[in-house]
Amino acid sequence: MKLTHLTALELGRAIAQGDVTIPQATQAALEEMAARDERLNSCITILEEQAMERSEALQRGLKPGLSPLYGVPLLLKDNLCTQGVRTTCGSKLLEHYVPPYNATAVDRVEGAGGVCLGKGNLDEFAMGSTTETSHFGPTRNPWEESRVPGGSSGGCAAGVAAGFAWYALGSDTGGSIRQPAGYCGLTGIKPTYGTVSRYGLIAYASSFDQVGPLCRDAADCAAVLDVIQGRDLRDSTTVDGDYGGLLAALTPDIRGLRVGLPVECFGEGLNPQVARRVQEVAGVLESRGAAVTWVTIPELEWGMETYYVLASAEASSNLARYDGVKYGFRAKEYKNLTQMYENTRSQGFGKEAKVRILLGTFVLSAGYYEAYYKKALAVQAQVKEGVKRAFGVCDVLLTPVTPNTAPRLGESLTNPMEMYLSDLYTVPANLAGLPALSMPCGVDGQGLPVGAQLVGPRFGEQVILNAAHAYQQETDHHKRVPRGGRVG
Amino acid sequence: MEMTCGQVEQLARLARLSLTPGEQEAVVGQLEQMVEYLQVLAQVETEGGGETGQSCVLRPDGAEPSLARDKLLSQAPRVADGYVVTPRSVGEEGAQ
Repeated sequence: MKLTHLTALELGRAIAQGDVTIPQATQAALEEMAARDERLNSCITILEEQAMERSEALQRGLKPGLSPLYGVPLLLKDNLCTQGVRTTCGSKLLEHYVPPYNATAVDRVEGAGGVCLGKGNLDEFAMGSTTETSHFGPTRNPWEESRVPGGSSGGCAAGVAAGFAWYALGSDTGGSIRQPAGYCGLTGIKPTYGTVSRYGLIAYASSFDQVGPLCRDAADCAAVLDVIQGRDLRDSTTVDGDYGGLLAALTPDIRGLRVGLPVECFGEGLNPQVARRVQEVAGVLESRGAAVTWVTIPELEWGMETYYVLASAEASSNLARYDGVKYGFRAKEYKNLTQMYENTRSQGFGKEAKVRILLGTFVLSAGYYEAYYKKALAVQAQVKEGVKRAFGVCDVLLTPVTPNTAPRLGESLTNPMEMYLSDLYTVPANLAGLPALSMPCGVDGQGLPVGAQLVGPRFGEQVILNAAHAYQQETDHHKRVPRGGRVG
Repeated sequence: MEMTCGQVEQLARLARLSLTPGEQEAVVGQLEQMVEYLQVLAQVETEGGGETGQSCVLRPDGAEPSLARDKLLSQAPRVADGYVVTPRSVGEEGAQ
């Protein structure tokens, strides 16, 4: 088997046993990147020299008892701050920004012996579902290059699927890990809100943003979560908990697991081929001893609207910091301070960011605040209640990740509402702060990956990882490698 | 809900964005579509429903080393003598 097709844990074991050296693995990934990334555009910055140097230093430090991910190369979404390495967030505003500090999640993967190979492309400020709004050009899907990889962590997803790295850290505000994982045939997880530090993650919508892994299977996700989860005094939304044992406790034994299929996620607008694949997942889980039932959560119907009000409101506030004063881009011409702000922001932000800032400004403005922002908060509370009620009768929820498989490049730019709807099934987990996992469950008629989503109760990472692990013992969809495809 | 160009201009002013005439047309269209889409929220019964406040947890207030000043300043677009330079903010000239 090709080195770049191993899972992160398989590579970690091969490194620990001395079958592969860390520089060999790093070199293999960099060669894949050199051969294909000019077309895919998965990385905004490739850290070739730095990665080789680090791999050699790590190889010298190899000894028994290290992290199972020691020496395993990875990608970081380019909204995670990396000390001394430019962090663009896919925006012209931060094109030359070099953070003086690391995000906590970055410190943690580096502490576990990670080798960062590059910074993954993303939609500008993580606002988008296709990676087409990046200032650095769109990323292509390695399964079929005329298709988008999803977004906003599309660069990371495309990179891991193409064998440029063994895993990646992305971020998920409304589906930005799970949706690209679904479109690229990967397993990705958005952890429970508050279990991974957001310190150094460039903010989009702070009450939803969460860092998480994009991997080849559920076991790898468990291993990465063990490294990155934990309380951080620099992010007051992180919570104390019993972290670090997900991989050790991972089991394919799911006898008695109650799996709920929300009827609202299998209705109008869902591609029948996607529905069929996801229902097959239910069948596999059942064959391993799970009990599958239909549940109803009518509150899910308002998820998208609620999400867009709250996320845009938070974005308009978070993005107010880009004023050209302390860091980032500043417009060349202006007559006074106000004009400096306006010209900097107008020339620095792309269209999608502007639309969301304006929408956020609208829902927070006098006269509309009650009808939109406050209303959305009240509806969010109802969505949380509805999901909680469902967890009274089941242990995990099973849904599609998206209504369709990956669209063609350009399609979403002409129909943004369609793009927003691709997050229909993923936003509820963000609204309720729940852990949710996306895993490949086969392909559609055109050979494009279909993703299934497992949502757990708060801090229920173990139960969704076990369900995915059980599924991946019975199936080999997660082992399929993109065969490449024509450029449309 | 209909969005007028004037309304969008006012929002842009609040958000410190200026839109070119070409941009304005595209943005007005998309905003209108999104606001229309959000109308469904008005139909949801939320009377007496749900606590919406979020608690804020503060860490102990202790002195800790901060990031290096010169490293931080190295990211500023314009610096002089260890200070960030901007146009004057009080009594700015040419202000509307």
